[in-house]
Amino acid sequence: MTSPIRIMAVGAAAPARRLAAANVAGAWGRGGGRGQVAVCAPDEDVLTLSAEAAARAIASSGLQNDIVDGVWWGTTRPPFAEGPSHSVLASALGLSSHSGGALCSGSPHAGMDALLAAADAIAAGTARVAMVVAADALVPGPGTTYEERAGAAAAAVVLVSDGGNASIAARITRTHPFLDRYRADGEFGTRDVYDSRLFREEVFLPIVGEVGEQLASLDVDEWSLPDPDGRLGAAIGRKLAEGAPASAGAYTAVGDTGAAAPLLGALGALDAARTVGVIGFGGGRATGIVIDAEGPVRGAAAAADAWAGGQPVSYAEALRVRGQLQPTGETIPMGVPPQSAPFVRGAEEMLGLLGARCVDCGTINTPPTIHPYCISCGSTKFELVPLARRGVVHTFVVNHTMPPPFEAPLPLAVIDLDDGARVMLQVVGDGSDMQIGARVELVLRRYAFERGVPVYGFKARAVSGMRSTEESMGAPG
Amino acid sequence: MSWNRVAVVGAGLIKFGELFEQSYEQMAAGAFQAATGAVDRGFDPQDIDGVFIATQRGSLWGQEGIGGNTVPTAIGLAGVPCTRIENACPSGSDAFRIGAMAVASGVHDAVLVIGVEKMRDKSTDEGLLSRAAAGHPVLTRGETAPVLFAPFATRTCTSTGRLARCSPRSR
Repeated sequence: MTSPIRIMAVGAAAPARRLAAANVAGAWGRGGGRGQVAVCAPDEDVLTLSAEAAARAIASSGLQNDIVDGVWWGTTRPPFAEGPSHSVLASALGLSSHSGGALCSGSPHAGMDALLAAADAIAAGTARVAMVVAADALVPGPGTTYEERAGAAAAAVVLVSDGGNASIAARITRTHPFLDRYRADGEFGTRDVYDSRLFREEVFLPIVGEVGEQLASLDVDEWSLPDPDGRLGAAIGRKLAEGAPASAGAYTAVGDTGAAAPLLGALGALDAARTVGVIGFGGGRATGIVIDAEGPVRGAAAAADAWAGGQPVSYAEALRVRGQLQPTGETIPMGVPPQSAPFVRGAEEMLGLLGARCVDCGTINTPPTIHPYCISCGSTKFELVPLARRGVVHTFVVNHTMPPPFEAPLPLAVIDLDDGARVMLQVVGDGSDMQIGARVELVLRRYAFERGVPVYGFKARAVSGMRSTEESMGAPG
Repeated sequence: MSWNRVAVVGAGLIKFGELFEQSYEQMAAGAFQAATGAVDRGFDPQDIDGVFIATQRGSLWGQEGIGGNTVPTAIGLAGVPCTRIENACPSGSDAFRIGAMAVASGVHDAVLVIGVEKMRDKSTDEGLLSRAAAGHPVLTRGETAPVLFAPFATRTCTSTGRLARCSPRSR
């Protein structure tokens, strides 16, 4: 007998930067370009977005992160083509070093792959709490119309065997081995579909339509439907529902977010008792599920906050952040390479944000590997503890002149965390929101892209109400 | 046992600047000549039996591991024992302290203390500011020299108002 698949909480994250499609179209000598997409800041990528969405979902769930049995992560393109993508995310989320899960990738269908794999683990009883994260920070090929549509976001769902206000009621997959959006080994940007009419008439509408019609028999109230080009979503919506699908708002705000899109588009609709049909498409597959919410799902009402607002950014800046516009010459290398011993020694304390709590006097020393003696009492007896992920600014500085690959202004702050530990970290943004006594939270960011390798760590970010991640992340007591 | 008394008998310096045209050794030699020339009633450099040289970042001119040992030969003191003191910004005053101890202890009779820093053989980006990428890969990333000190000023400005002319930017 299998366990029911329940949804305890959800969370979402999106970059604050918005790229107008008209800017992309104009750069390539095309007219038009409708809408906008979310694009990453230099210190964001699919992993940092995933960490933020998952942290919000955990916080909303009220569960402790150390009881999560694993992360099922779906993204078209993980940050390491081959490498420790999954374990870096699990560490940053403060999960147990025995946690499991899987990384699904290779097409925008990966988000649904991750959800189904996690659901199977819950059903089978091999996991009782499963974190699903569907995320993408797409890298479209320059010059494609896909570029006007490709966004970035993450959606997270905490699945449990018991509890919560919603369940996964049905699922169906339909495959058709067709080359849609595609990238070969050695290619950097993703190609758009070869023939948009062929794709629409012979692939997308028949396959997604078939899945949708089967789900519709379950009296779906709201839909999250794929909309890869800004028109197909409405086209499939007309076949299935009256009015725009629930997913339209997220698509309008952040564009097509690939693997994140199906769940992202569904989250807002889970704020009340509803039956929500969710369809994901990509890589020659369409998968539909039905989520049956008996009441508001935790985190759903706040989900739309994650993609609200945003600051405009130029096309050139978006290209630069994606690595498609490269500077000339050498940049300043990191003192130690990302493959070296300091990273092995310090992996847990850097990504898991650990401190060494003095057994004798209670002072938390950070980071543990450079504090063999307590800074307060000189004791050498410590226990490793997760640091509080909120605090106040003790003091700060803003660097206004920095060599590449750094970018100025670069703020750093000395922060007194809520558990008494003091840390010095970089600050997200330009420092204009820094002041002594300001409340900050610690968020995972990409500190560097060093010798071809992403390097992650936490930065401080001023707490600005609804965009904040709750302090329950990794902060016992 | 008591310590010997220590006297400073001569001191000199060269004009500061980017000094693109001078090597590290030439800068040290210039200061050495100025110092020996300043000694009352003259001085035989061959009386020097120890050299303490302060350089905070040899890597700024591409010479990290060799210490100060190129200097004695360059100034005509080949064979005299030489120690380089590398101790951040106080390297120079620390070298002076150690030189004084060497004489006070009686181990050395006359020592030469030189502080020399060659900061513009590399561009500022690749030189002084490259410190931002040194050290801990995350926890000290972005720490240039001002970052080590400016936060104290930020804090002092706000809590005491003691720094009368704080930059508004740092408030």
